Amino acid sequence: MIQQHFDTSVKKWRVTFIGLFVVLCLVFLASLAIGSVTIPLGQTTKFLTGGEVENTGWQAILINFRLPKALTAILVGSALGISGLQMQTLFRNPLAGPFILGISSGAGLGVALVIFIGFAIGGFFGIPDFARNWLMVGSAAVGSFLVLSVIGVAALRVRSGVSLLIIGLMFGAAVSAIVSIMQFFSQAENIQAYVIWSFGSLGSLSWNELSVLTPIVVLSLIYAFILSKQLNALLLGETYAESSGLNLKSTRILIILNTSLLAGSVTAFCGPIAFVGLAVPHLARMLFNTSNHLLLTPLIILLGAILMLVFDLVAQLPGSDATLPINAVTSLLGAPFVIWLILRKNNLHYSFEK
Amino acid sequence: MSLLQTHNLTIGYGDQPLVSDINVSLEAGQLVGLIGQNGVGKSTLIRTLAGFQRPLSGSISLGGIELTKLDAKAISKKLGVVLTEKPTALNLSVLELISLGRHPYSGWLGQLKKEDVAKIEEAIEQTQIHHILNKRLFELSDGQLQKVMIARVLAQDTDVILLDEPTSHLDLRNKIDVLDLLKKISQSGKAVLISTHEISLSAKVCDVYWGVDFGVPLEIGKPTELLASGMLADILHVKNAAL
Repeated sequence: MIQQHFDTSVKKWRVTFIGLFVVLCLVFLASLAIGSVTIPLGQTTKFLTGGEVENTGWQAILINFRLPKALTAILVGSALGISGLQMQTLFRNPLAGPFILGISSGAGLGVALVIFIGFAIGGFFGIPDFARNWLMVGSAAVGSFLVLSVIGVAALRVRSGVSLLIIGLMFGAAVSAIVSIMQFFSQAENIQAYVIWSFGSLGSLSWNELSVLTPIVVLSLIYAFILSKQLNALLLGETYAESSGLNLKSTRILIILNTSLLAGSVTAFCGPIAFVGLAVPHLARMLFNTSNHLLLTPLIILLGAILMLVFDLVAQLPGSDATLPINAVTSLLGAPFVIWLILRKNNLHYSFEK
Repeated sequence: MSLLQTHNLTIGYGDQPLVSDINVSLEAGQLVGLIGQNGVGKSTLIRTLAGFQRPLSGSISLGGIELTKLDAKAISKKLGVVLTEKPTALNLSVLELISLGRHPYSGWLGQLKKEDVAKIEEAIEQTQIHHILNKRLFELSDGQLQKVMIARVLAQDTDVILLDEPTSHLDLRNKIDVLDLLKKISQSGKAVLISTHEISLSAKVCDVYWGVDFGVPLEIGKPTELLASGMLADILHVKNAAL
């Protein structure tokens, strides 16, 4: 009797997953074809299937700019969506996102230190672009890692998730304050460099950088899927989860570690990209009406990737030379969509308490 | 057969003991009522017996093994709880929630084996909730939710089940249904402990009462005896109450 229930739901979900995958392929193709220069779809598909593109200019645009950027968008959307999901489930809080524990503040501090101190010593803008990029990536990674180590120590000590959440928020606030002080005492040129980093960017990754980001994100996403069982138990609340045999502390550490790898690596390479991590889990729960992490994890990977590609398409302002900062587009387009969905459903039942 | 035993157990918080020197035993097939005023330590006793908080002194043995020597997973196969708090994610479906009861046994991704499905079906059968399997938790009445929570703990397949005030917030019909259900569950060979303020109803189904009062040892006895001797009125501080 029950087996039937499970079997019909497997069939239903298979259709959903295939549908989303097709949409992802289409959006991916569109994001390769559309931009300041429009490349015919036929040529784009030819390029993807390994054929020769008629126009060498197009070939160069595709291989040097559009393909790495589209791949970055997919990684960023999936990684931030999943880390937002993990934080929302861990803290049972619909307002939690990937950066709730101060990951972006930590990365920001690292980058700020490199920019401001680098300038004070002299020569930050003098070093080659390549070296400067890696310096910023490295410092962002070290910054977020340091913040997370402190949170990790706290996670071992405190019993309740809410206390941990507040510790994370306080820590993030303190770290941001240090960045403000540094900004206050530095020159316009530095501040500009920092602000541009904080806008977020998908297009600045070279193939070299992608070859570092991709394995980190892909492995972390696989691990996120493996964590589904523990995350599902947490849906019961911490006490019930523990009485179902879950080791709360080790689970908490594993989830935080997974989230920091996802959000930390993305932030290091692309800056603090807002909104996606907070909103995509909500969108997935509302659109697909489930809170089962075995389903939500692949759903959010697909949905996050699709949305990020769409946001990036809009940010390109197709047909023009100008681009918008990606952070502005994610929030500007995403926020009304979430508001509309909430008004339509008229409650937050889909995710948490009444 | 004793499934859970305490030895000179003292419970409480920090250095403030609530109840001292508890020596009790939960037997297979028994439905035990935990009776006492608000704040006397009923929930604390349940939390301590379930391993959520450490005893101040003394020890608890679960199935003959010292509770502190068991990890969360080992405890979860022997002891299940239904608490006063609701699950966090109220958009889970009833079937999903009951399936989560199989957490200690299911595969590394939570896959259900044949045996898991059989246990889930059995739990649904016992609690008679076939008609609401596809409903979401927020759609349920308090009575339905309580039955679903009981179904979840049945699916967990433990010898010992502890329930904190399973009949609060329910109407009379549902209180009777839930207590009858718990009686049947205990008769199937499990040890069931409930804390309750429902004296007249629970006296009919409980085999034993554990009466808890401030600063005195636990009073153990058959409900009828405790009622007749006036002991229960003492424990509940209602001896001279004019009604």
